[in-house]
Amino acid sequence: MLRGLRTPDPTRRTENYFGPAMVLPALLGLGLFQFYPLVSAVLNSFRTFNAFTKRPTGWAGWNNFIEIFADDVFRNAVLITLIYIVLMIAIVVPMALGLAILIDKRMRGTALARAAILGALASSEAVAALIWNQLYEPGTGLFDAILKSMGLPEQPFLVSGPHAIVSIVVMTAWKDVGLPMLIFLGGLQAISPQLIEAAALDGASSWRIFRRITLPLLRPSLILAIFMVTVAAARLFTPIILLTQGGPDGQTTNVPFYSYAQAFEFSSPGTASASVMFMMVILVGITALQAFVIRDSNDGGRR
Amino acid sequence: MANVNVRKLVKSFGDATVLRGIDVDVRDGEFLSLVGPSGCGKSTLLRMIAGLEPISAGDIVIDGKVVNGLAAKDRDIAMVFQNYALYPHMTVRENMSFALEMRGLSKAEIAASVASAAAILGLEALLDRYPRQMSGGQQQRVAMGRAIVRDPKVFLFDEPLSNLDAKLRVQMRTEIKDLHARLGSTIIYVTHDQLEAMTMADRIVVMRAGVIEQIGTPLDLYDRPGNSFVGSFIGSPAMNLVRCTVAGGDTGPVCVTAGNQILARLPVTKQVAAGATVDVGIRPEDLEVGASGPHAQVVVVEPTGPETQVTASLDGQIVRLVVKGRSSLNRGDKISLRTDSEKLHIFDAETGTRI
Repeated sequence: MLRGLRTPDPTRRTENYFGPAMVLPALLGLGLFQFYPLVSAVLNSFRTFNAFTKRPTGWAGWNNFIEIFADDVFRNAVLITLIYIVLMIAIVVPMALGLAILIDKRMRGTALARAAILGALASSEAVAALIWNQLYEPGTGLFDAILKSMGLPEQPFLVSGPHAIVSIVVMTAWKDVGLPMLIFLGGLQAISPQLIEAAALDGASSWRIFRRITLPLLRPSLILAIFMVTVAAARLFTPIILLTQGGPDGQTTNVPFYSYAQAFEFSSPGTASASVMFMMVILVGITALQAFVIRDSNDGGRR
Repeated sequence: MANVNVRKLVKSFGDATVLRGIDVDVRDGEFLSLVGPSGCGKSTLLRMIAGLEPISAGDIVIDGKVVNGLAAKDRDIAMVFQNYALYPHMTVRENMSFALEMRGLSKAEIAASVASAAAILGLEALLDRYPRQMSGGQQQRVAMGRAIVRDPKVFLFDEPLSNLDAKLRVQMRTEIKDLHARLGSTIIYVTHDQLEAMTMADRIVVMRAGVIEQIGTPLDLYDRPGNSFVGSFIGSPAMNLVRCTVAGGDTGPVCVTAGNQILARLPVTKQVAAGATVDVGIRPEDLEVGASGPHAQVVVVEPTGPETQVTASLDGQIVRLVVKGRSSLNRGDKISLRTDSEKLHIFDAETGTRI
């Protein structure tokens, strides 16, 4: 169109290559570090390996998958992973929402509380796990000391399986609550104060304002927060390896820890990749289900 | 429907006092407008009546009952906000039902109330829409619908038309006034636009810097402004204030401008000592181009169609006059100004008080 009228542009020819050239480094990096490992993980899950050299020796078909499904430890790890996800959502999401509401009120000490919560988020997982390891220490740890001082029995925080799962979740919740809290805080601050005032004038109590106005308007934040907590819980690894090493008796082993053990302790890249693949499929399924369940049925929450 | 009495109301935020002893009585069924420049405290006063701001001192009485400690939700007051504050996740019907639901009315009662309020405002076709699917004017109408469906004791409006375009604003102005006439409800209406207040209100409260400057009917304020602030705030284009000295003339005292020109005779009813400095208030429509009189130079000529606004410099002071119809004046023209001395408003130059 109007091609003949266009003034010749000396930079045009180079511009044709300029754009792709600028994208290339990012594309290379992404391909090398994101897509290549993903593709090779998919391929590896269908391969057999030499246990000593860890080099592929041939194709295994579905054997790696059949092998892990036959493994009690893996089946238990899937269950444990789901338990982590459920517990993390049940604890972290309401806690993050509650903290965000408190911080949004801008009371005295708010700045300090926010700094403390974000500090935990910024701290290293390994350091946090070591500190909590001391807190959970049987007999001499802070928690047992508190229980003892109140005349309550000591608890096997990291020694019994069910206790250990809760202990890991509590530590992770303490550390990770900051991110969903920030999401909720952003969501709360995006709600016009006039809406709250209008609801108050309409005769709504604080609870009903929260239930009927604030919460529905937080729906996008809620979806994002649940998604992020789910992914984080499904990938839980550092606290497990540092607090319990998957024990006692595999009772805190989730799929990531199982994959790690297969790859590095049992030198079995094939089954490790198969378990990673399985987890990925499960995670996609869970997040899709969540998105479906909490979808905006009337599409009215969008502003 | 109820009357509202505000008594010696004070509001401070920390060290800053934004309302300094406000006394207003709003009669049952009255349309009262609070006007003033931004920061005068009019919105704060409205929010205190609504129960959205705590009271520092004084009393607010609604329907004979002191409501100082009463929460907003228990005051039975409806408010229309500047940004409408419609619940974005609810349809128009749900927005209008919300307050009735909170009151615990039955589904049938709610449906009937919503239907009748929707009929009053012509909202029937919009009931299942979400706020974001509507224009600003429609949202404004829904905000009013949400207020009238409750049949509250008092309606509060907080600059409800400032987000609308000029044409729609004029239309909504008429509609709100008509609505008031039909419902006979008590309305307190905050605006910074004196024209809105003039055209709609039964009475106007002019505020400045946390105090009430004057309360009166629109034409009261226009005809007899209590001080130079009210004089220049009410009316558009604004009243001219010409700084003059009173001097004895051949036929009685006269007002002399800075350039030693006689602006006009002092009205006979005004008692001002010779030598006193006064601000002479002249409405632009009371000032005309005459054959003789003080000289001024035309600065700007602005035709609006039915009339022409002329801005001129009178001894260094800017004055505006409104000329009916077209004007052949041009920038730089020398003109003589003529005014009827009985239409002058004389204010004490020091205090601004009407003399």
